[in-house]
Amino acid sequence: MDSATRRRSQGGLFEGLYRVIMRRNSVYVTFVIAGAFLGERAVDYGVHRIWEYNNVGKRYEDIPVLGQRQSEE
Amino acid sequence: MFTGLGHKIRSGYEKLSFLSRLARQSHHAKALPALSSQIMEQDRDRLGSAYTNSVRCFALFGAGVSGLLGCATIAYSDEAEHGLAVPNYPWPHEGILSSYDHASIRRGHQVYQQVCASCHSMSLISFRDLVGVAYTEEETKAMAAEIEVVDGPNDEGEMFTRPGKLSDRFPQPYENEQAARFANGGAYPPDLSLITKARHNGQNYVFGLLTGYRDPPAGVSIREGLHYNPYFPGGAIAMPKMLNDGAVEYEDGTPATEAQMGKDVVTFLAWAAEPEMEERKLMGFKWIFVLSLALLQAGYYRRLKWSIFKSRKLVLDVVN
Repeated sequence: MDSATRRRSQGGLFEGLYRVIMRRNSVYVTFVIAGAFLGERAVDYGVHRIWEYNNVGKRYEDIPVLGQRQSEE
Repeated sequence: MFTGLGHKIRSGYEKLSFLSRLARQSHHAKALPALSSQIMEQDRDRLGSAYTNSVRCFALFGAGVSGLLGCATIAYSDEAEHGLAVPNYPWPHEGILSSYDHASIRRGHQVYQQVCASCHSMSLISFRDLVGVAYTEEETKAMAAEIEVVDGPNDEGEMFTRPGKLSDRFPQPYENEQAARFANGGAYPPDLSLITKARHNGQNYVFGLLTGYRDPPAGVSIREGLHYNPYFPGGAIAMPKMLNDGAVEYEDGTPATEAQMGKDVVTFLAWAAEPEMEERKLMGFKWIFVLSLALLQAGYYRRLKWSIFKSRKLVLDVVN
């Protein structure tokens, strides 16, 4: 029992997280909603960066003859 | 008439029947002698059935797996029935985060328009679908204006023709299916709007078909009007070889070899069948990533709430 309390008072990552956001439900809910909004923006940005890195030269904007009228055939 | 296929069917069936016989016999053999010495007679039926149930389940599962593995060989496609199996090509747009090659879509549309559109319709695609994918808006408007479209009754009640707009569908080469069949020796050139989804392994199949024309092997004769193509089920296709080197002159100067035109036109057809692919891949990657994080959070939260019960101790204080 004693060793457990000593370890808890030092705090690990989960302990720290619990203390900051999970003590009060209002704080928890605010964290979830704000986290969802900001997290989605971050994930969108990250995924788009990976997508563009993986698809160099294949985009619509990269078409070399874009804008020239199609030749009459 | 012992074909390899027949052997496989027979061996698969034999394995299945052997193992189902084994399953039926096993619980008789194992259960009764093991249990009779340990359990009182009135309990034997209840406990015995539970034990035999688990043995039976296991045996049936084993039988099922072996039977399935044996019968799976029946799924072999017969070349005469399904055509020669196509190789899988490394398309630039295959892969979890790969987009279409839009320059290839543009070239493919050019091939379609100049080579295929005389016989094949693509009646589900509109000109406006091309904007932002292969052509600018002005280019697409100019392309649409080159065709004549029959439009609804005017104020005098007459149908009239007008130049095409962005909202019009791609023009159809024939009025109806009968006209198409009549002009092509009884064969109907299918609409290509969804062809890569409408054929098994569609993208590879269409590429293989377009580039797969060759002389029939010795002893195989194809009647007049049909052409030999090993990838087409039955081997005799009504369409002649359409992709020949230099048939099209690409705007961007890419050499128009048969394989290049095949690749471009299949990319165009794949886009036409699945224009939402890029958005779908982005969305899928994003949400699977987010939901796996949510899974970790849910797992942590569940264990947090359950920790009270998982760590409790019950003490039975029995007074005799």
